[in-house]
Formats: sequence, C-alpha cells, structure tokens
Amino acid sequence: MTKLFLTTALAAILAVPTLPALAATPAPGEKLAAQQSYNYWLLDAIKTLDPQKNTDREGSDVINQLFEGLTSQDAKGAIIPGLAESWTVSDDKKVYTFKLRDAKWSNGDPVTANDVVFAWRRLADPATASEYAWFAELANIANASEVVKGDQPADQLGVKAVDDRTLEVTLTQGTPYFLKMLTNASLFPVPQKVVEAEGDNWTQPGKLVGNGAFTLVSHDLGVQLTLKKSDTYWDAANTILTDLKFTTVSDVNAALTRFQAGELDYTEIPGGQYPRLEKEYPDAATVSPKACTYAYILNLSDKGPEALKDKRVRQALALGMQRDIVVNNILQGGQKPAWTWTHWAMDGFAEPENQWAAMSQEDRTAKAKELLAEAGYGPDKPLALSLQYNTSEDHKKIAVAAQQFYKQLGVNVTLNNVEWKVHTDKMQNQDFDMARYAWCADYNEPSTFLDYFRSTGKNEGKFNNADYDAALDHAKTAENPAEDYKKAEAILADEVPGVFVYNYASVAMRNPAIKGVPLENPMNDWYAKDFYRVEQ
Amino acid sequence: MFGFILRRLAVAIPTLLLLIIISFVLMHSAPGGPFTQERALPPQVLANLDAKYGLDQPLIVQMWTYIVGIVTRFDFGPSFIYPDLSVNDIISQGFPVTLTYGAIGFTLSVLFGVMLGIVAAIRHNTWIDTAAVGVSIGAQVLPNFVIAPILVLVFTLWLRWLPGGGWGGWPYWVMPIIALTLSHMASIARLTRSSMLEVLGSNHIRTARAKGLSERAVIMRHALKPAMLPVISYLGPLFVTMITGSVVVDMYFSTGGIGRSFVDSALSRDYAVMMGITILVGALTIFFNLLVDVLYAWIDPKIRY
Amino acid sequence: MTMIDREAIERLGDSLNAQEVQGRSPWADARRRFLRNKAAVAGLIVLLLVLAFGLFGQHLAAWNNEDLDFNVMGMVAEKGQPSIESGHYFGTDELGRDLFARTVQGTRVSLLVGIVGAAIAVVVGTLYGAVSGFSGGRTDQIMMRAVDILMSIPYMFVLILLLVMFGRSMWLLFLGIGLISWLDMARIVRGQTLTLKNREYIEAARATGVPGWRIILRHIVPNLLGVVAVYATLLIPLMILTESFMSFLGLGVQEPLTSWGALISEGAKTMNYGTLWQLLFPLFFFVITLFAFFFVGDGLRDALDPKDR
Repeated sequence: MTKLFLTTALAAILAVPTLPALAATPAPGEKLAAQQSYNYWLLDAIKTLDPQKNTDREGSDVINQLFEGLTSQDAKGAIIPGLAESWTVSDDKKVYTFKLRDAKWSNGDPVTANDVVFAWRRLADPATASEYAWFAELANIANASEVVKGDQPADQLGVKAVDDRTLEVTLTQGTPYFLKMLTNASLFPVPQKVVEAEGDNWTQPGKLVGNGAFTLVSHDLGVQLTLKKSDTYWDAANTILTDLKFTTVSDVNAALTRFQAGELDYTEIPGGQYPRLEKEYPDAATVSPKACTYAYILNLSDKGPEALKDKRVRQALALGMQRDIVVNNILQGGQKPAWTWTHWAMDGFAEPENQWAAMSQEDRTAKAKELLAEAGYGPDKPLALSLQYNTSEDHKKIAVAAQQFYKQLGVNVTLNNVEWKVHTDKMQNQDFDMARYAWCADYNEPSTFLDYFRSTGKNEGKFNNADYDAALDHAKTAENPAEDYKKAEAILADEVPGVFVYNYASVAMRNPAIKGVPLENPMNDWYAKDFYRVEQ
Repeated sequence: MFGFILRRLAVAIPTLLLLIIISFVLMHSAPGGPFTQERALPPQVLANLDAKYGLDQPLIVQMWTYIVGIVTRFDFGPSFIYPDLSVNDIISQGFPVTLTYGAIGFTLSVLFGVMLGIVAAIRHNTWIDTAAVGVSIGAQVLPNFVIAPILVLVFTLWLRWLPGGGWGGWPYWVMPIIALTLSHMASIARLTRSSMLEVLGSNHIRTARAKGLSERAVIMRHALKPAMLPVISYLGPLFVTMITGSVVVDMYFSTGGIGRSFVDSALSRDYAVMMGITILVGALTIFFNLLVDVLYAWIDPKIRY
Repeated sequence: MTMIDREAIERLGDSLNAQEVQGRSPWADARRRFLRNKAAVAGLIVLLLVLAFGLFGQHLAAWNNEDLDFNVMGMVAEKGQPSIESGHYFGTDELGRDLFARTVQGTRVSLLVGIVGAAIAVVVGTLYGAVSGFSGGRTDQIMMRAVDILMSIPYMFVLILLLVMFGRSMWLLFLGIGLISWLDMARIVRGQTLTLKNREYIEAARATGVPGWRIILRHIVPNLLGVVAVYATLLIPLMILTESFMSFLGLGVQEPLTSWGALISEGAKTMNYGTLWQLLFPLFFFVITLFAFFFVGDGLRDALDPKDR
C-alpha cells in the first residue's frame, strides 16, 4: 500500500542515480509494422498548446508528447526522470536541486535551467493570467501566492537556475507529492526565446518549439492535429512511432463507428456498451482505473435545505444509493462502487473498513428507511430534494435512476438539468440541494482528493469538521500518512458530506496492434514515445 | 432603386447594433462566465483574468470598447477559451469550411430542388408528382441528426468508401453536403411545385398555350420566371443559413466549421467568439436579404419600393 | 430551416377576400372540397389517431413512464426488445423505461410545443399585422420597418442563446419557438388588412365611431381566419421540427419529461447497438404526424381557394 510512496520519498532523499528512463521496447518476436502511426481520439477542439495556459485533460494529452517535464511517469504511474536526470532534496525537504540532462529544443537550442525558471515564473505571473496559476501555489513553491496576487514580482518565485544544467527550487514546506506534480503540463519548460519573440501565437504550427519526443506538424482547430517524431529529442533513438494524429470527433458514438472502420486507434466506449464490445472485440475493449470519483455533493451550508443538516438524513441518502445498479447495469464498464472519496487506485491509499459496504442493498435500504423515520421523515412528511446535474447522457441516466432509488425510500427527488457553466456557478454559490460532482486527481496521492472537503478546500457543500482538517494537517509531515487518510475517510463515511457513487474507470477501445500502452496508471497520462505498432 | 438600397443600408446599421446589444446583454446576464471552472479559481487569479480581458469594466464600457474595436480595426477581440487565438483567427479557420460545404450544398439544393419541383408540377396528379411530393416531405421531416449517423454507418463502416469525418479533399465533403442539403432541397422542390402550378393555371400561360407554343417553350420562356419569384425570396436567408453551417454536420463530421463553434462558445461563455459569429451571421443575413430584394425588383419590374 | 410558402398564403388571402366581395362564404364549399381530397382526409385521420394516442395512450401502457425495469436494465439489447409478453410493446430505452409510455408522453409534449408555439406566432403575428395595416401611415411604416429589422436577426442563434442563458424551462421554449415565426404572419396579415380596410362596412363602422381595436377584433381578424388556419397548420410541424433540433442540442424539454425530438435523438445515438426500436417507434410517430400536418395544411389551402385546379 504505502510501499510505492515510501520508495519514491526515500529515493528523493538519497541523491538519485540516473534511473533507466522508459522507452518503447518491443518484446522479442514482435514484428514492427511498416507504418509507425497512432491516431488518438479527442472529444473537443484543443483549446491551447501552451503548457502554462492549458487546463484540460485532452490538452495535456497533446502537450505531454510535445514537451517534457522535469520528471515523467512509468507505465504504472511511478515517478521516473524526465528532463531532469537526477535530483537531491535538502534535509528539511524544502529545497530541491535538479540536474538537467543534455536535452535540446526542437529548433536545436539547448534546454537550459533558465527555460524552466522562465516557464514557472510565467505560470505564476499575473500578466500571463494563467487559469492554472494556483498549481504553483499548490506545489508550495516559495512566494508563489505573493507572485500570483501581484504583491511580489515574478522573479521572486522560489526557483532559480544555478547554472545552465542545474535548477534549484525552494518550497515553503515539505511537500511529499512535489515530484509528482512536476509531471503536470503547467510546470513544463517552454523556450523563452520563442515565446518572447512570437507572443500568444507561439503555439501555432511552424512556430511551436518543444522539448518532447514529437513536434507539431499541423493543427486544424476542432478537426485534427498531426505530430511527427522529433529528431532532437534526447531519447529519439529509442522512439519508434513516427506519426501521431489527434482527431476530434465530438460525438462518442460517431467516434466508436470510426474506430470500427479503422480510422482511430483509441476511443472511449459509450456508457453501457462495454459488455457488448468486450464480446465482439476481446482484444480491443479495455478497462483501466481512472483517478476520479463520482458523487452527489450535499449542501450543508446555511443556504442548503434544513433536512440535510441532519446526519441521519445524509446517511440514509448514502445508503439508498444503489451503487451496484449504477455500476453493473448503467455504466457497465468496470467502474467500482465508491464508499470512499479517494479513488481506490491512488498511490498510498488504504480503504477504511466500511460496515455499509458489506451489507446487502435490501439491508441498506431498510436501514435508510429507519434512519429517515428517526429523523422524522416518512409517508406523512416526505422528504423533497432537488438533484442538479450538468448536461450529459451518462449523468442523466444516473440521475433518473437515483430519482427512482430515492423514491423507494419515500424521498421525492426533482431533477434539475443545467449546462456546465450554470451548474458550476450554482455550486460555487451554494445554490443547490444535491449536486452531481466528480473530482479528479491532480497528482497520484490521496490528499489530492481529501483536500477537497477541508473547511478551507473547494468544498462546495461547506462541510466543516475540525477532526477531518486535523487528520489532513497531520498527514503533511507524518511518517505514515496512510493512517491519517484512513481516518479522514472514516469521518467522511460517517458524516456523509456527499453520496459517493462510483470510482471511475477508463473504458476504451484500443487498437491491439499498438503496444506499450499503460493500463495501470490511474492518472491516465501516456507518452507516445513508449508506444509502438506491431504487424498484424 | 438606389434610394431603396441606401435606405436599406441605413437600416442595416441600427439592426446590427440592436443585434450586438441583445446578444451582449444576453451573454453577460447568463450565470457563469468564461472562467467559471469546476475548480473555482482563486480570487486573485480570477481578477488577473478579468483584468486581462477587460471584464472588470462596467458592461457599457465593455460594449463600447468592443464596438470601437470592430469599427476601427475590424478586431473582434481575443477568444476567452482559446487563449492562443483571436476571434478573427477562429472565424477565418472555420468559415471557409462552412462556406465550402454550404455553397456547394446550396447550389445542389437549388438545382435539384427546382428541377424536382418543375417536373412534379408539369406531371401534376400523376404518380411522378405524388412520388416527388412524398419524397420531399419525407426529406423535410427526417431530422439531419438521424440522417448523419446513418450516412456514417453506411459509407464509412459498411462500404468503407468515405472517411467518417474530418476536413480535407472532396471525399470529406460528400456526407456533410448530403446531410445538409436534403431537407433544403425538399423545401425548394415543394415551393417550386406549388408556385409553378399557380403560374401554369394563370391567364397569361393559357394565352401562350393558345398561341400554339410548344409546352417546353411555354414553361421555359413564360412560366419559369414568374414561378421562380417566391423561390428567390427564400434563397437569401437559405444561403446564409447554409454557409454559416450546421451544428449537426459540424458535430457528426468534425468539419471544424463555425456552426459548432457557435454552440460551443455559447456554452463555454466565450463571449467574444459567440459575438463574432452572431455579427457575421447577422451581417450576412442583412446583405443577402437586400440582394434578394434587388434581384426581385430586377426580375419583376412591377414591384416598386 | 424549412419554411412556409408565404406567397401561396397571400394568394389564398387575396382570393378569399375576392370571394367575400362576391358575397359567398368561403367555408361553405371548403368542407366539401376538403373531404374530396384523399391525402388531406387521410392526414386528418392520422392526426386524430396520434392525438388520441397522446391523450389516452397511457391507459393502454402496462408500465409507468418513470419506472425502471430492473430486469431489463443493463441488458436492453437482449431483454428490452418490443414484446407483448413483457408489457413493453415498444421495447425499453437504455435505462429500462417503457418506451411505449415514453412515446405517449413524448407525443403529448411535442404536440403541445407545436400547438402552443404556433398559437403564439399566429396570435402575435395576426394582431401585429392587423394593427399595423389598419393604422396605416407613419405607425404602419415604423411597425413594418421593425419587422424588417427583426427579420435580419438570426433567430436560431438567439433561441439557442436564450435557452443557454436562462435555463431550459418549458414555457421559455414555447415562447422562444413561437417568437421565431410571427414575422411572416405579421406581413401576410398586414397585406390582407390593407385590402380589407377600404371595405364599405369597415368604413361605415369607422364613421360611426367604433374604436379601432374593436374593428380589428370584430371585423378584420374574423375575415382572416382562413389564412390564419392554413398558416397555423403548416407552422405546427415546423415548431415540432425546431423543438427536435433543440432537443438534439440538449436544450429542449428536460427529464423526466420527454419529447419526440429527445427520444429520436437518443435513439439515433444508439442505432448501431442492436436497439433500433428506440429510434424507430418515436421516429414513426414523428414522421407520420409531420406528413399529416403538411397534407392537411395543403389540403385546407386548396379547399379554401375556390379556383378549381
């Protein structure tokens, strides 16, 4: 459980010798295809290729191929050297010193420590107005908050280039997950010269310069991006794929049709279609963990309904949610029923015992009715709540089902479908009873989930529990944070600030000819440099 | 005539202004803004963004700056959601696509629609007429979000003749054009048929027939022009609708056209892109309506303005 | 964007006016002519059947439109197909809800959207056009210029904006859809009013000091009924089509309500997954109804028009 986590922490304390970097390594006997190409599906148009301005998953998928951060991940999501070939950390865990490898930008210039400094300052600088500026604060980089606020100039950020190949980062406090955060695009280096010369337009094809294994050939907004292998990448000798395509298909069903027609090598499986596709294409239909949790957040704030302030009502709602039906009959794609907020696959997470999880649904429903009756709700005084969800086929299905589940408890749920922006806006203003929500990990460690319910966290339902906050504070410096996380989860299970429904899985059709695809990394990051296509 | 054109152009400006104001106010009164995110942005980050895009100004100032930018520099501002691109970039990438499939689709629907309508009118009350009417009502009522996936299944998955989406050479054009054209072609056919029937029953055609002209000459020389009048008044708005794209086509075939961009920008509160497309469509609508009126006057000199 | 043949309706209006001058009631012969038109009568019968289905269908359904059939859920392709035995005459949707009951509900909602939308367009358009034409002079000029201006606004865009901005309430959908189409109606009615205005009995009424609004309601509007009826019949299918497009965008009526458009759009997405009935049943009702409206509308127009074709 905590082993992996400890290993990384340990490795960080000792000066790490150069670990073997991952690269595409065909197994003996595999015959490589003549055409080394990979065509990946995107749902939407790519909003930006600027690492510091990117905010979404699909943007990261492209940027991960065009740029490389100080650290990278192996097939299981463990941290391995990327642009930095080694690093050391001070005894107080506040100063990291990275040794950069001899790497080049795609225009032939060397990648220097200064490019990293430039990129990080750019992320925090109010002039950039990056929506991800908070990431620098989350990483606890010294002065990040002051710089973001504009109280200090960007050059006061706690990062400096000791020489061209040495980078020193100062943090305000020990941050166990700091190295993991470096795999996020917002902390990737960018070429200072190019960015300064070209301005906002520097990410256009022909102008974009990266340090990743691939370079940008064309970008047709909302249609397709094409990338080709970069000869200047430091590990180009071990990169096998030569052509990458990212194709936008805005309808997941149309994307599946095009996968079946051989136009795509990867596409998501529409909800409920996995069992059928698994039978028809056993080699191609895959399930892998995805670090997100689906929940109905309950509004505990003053603006929320009186009923939800009663713990028994909240517990009844958690018990009445028929997770098995959601997972097995609606989604049908290897998702797991969630009794914790943290995704089960998170590095260093141990689930606490949960008595409800072990019960049968009949018993849970009975218990839920009992709790509601105790709280004074019943046939004479039925509980009425609204459930808000944002427009999506799957959210709709689950909400319609939830309405029926709660009807069995005598709870009248009205559905309120709103589009995404309205949903977010209402949630942030505590204008809801129950609201669909999903939280996805920013880095592979439980605190990325648990911080949400802190009294100072995003926490749209305004859950407030001192013991919970204390447990998480303790985890920051604890020898064994897993125990604290367990305790925090136990509090959530008892207090029910939200009804946790299921832990996500990535359910996808993947062309079996493509090898080297990571299926065990819950962060779902992938690096095409590790892939290759075999002859079939 | 020139006076008429001038007057219409003079009305065009307040119309566009009205359109800008309506859309601007609608957009900004909606809950959520371009930077409303799942993870509420820290107030200072939000403040930085608002300052960068001028959203911290009063609405009336924003609107004024926006209109001045368009009038003086033809600058529709930066996109809020695509930080690397300006609205001009986005429209200049997407509009040629919709213009291409829209203009071809328009030509085809007029050509075939008129032909079908004339044939049905000439063969009035025969099985040809019945079939033409049935087919064209059918094409009109089948939603294109049903037609599009059928096309992809047939031509991409089963026959493997055409790419299932994207934008490039002509193979990419076929399915978007079919999906877009069918219903428009059908309405033109119905319109042509009824107007042709009307004209064929009129006195001056009876006179022409009485003079012993061949049926072909009667239709081509005497009936066609008056029969086309109602069709023409329909063509202006139709042309604009078609060249500004279809959400369904853009979604199913990932053409990258502006029909999709409009809905996306409205949903993501990309105020600038949404305004840009609305103004583009509004301006085109005004222009083509005017063009139709001029054309009308030219064909039918009886109309005075 | 489909449209209504405005000129044909104007011609109809002209000839109705002409008949009236000759002192014949347009409605007397119209019914006989309408009943002779086989397509129109068939259309009318279909419409009545669909209406009955929408109004009383739920009494035939074995299932409630909300209940999930947990036996079927998750195995819709295998167990959710149409069957008399299971009580799912039209099969079930993806969640195991009875498609028959859902189609009944969708029929009701779609017809309501069409009729209310068309009614708003017709009422607003008629009154606006009649007032404009009757007032004449500067008022008429301004009112018609306003129509010109509004005609240049891309309505589909504004409707999408409205629904996005103000959420998806059903009445907003009615209003938005209705307000799209009153402009044409206003123009047609104004034209007819201009002709009617100079009739002797109206001049007489004016001379005796009957107020303008009363003349409009008592004398002008009743004379426009034929035009209005035809226009409304042809407008309803367009309203239903517009609603289906909005439903495709996810902006139409919302769960637990449904409409033909919503059902078709769901069915179209899964047409290749072995559950084709989810598309075909709602599509069937949608298509026959629109066909019927077009036939009845055309039939009504021909019936009211005395010119024997």
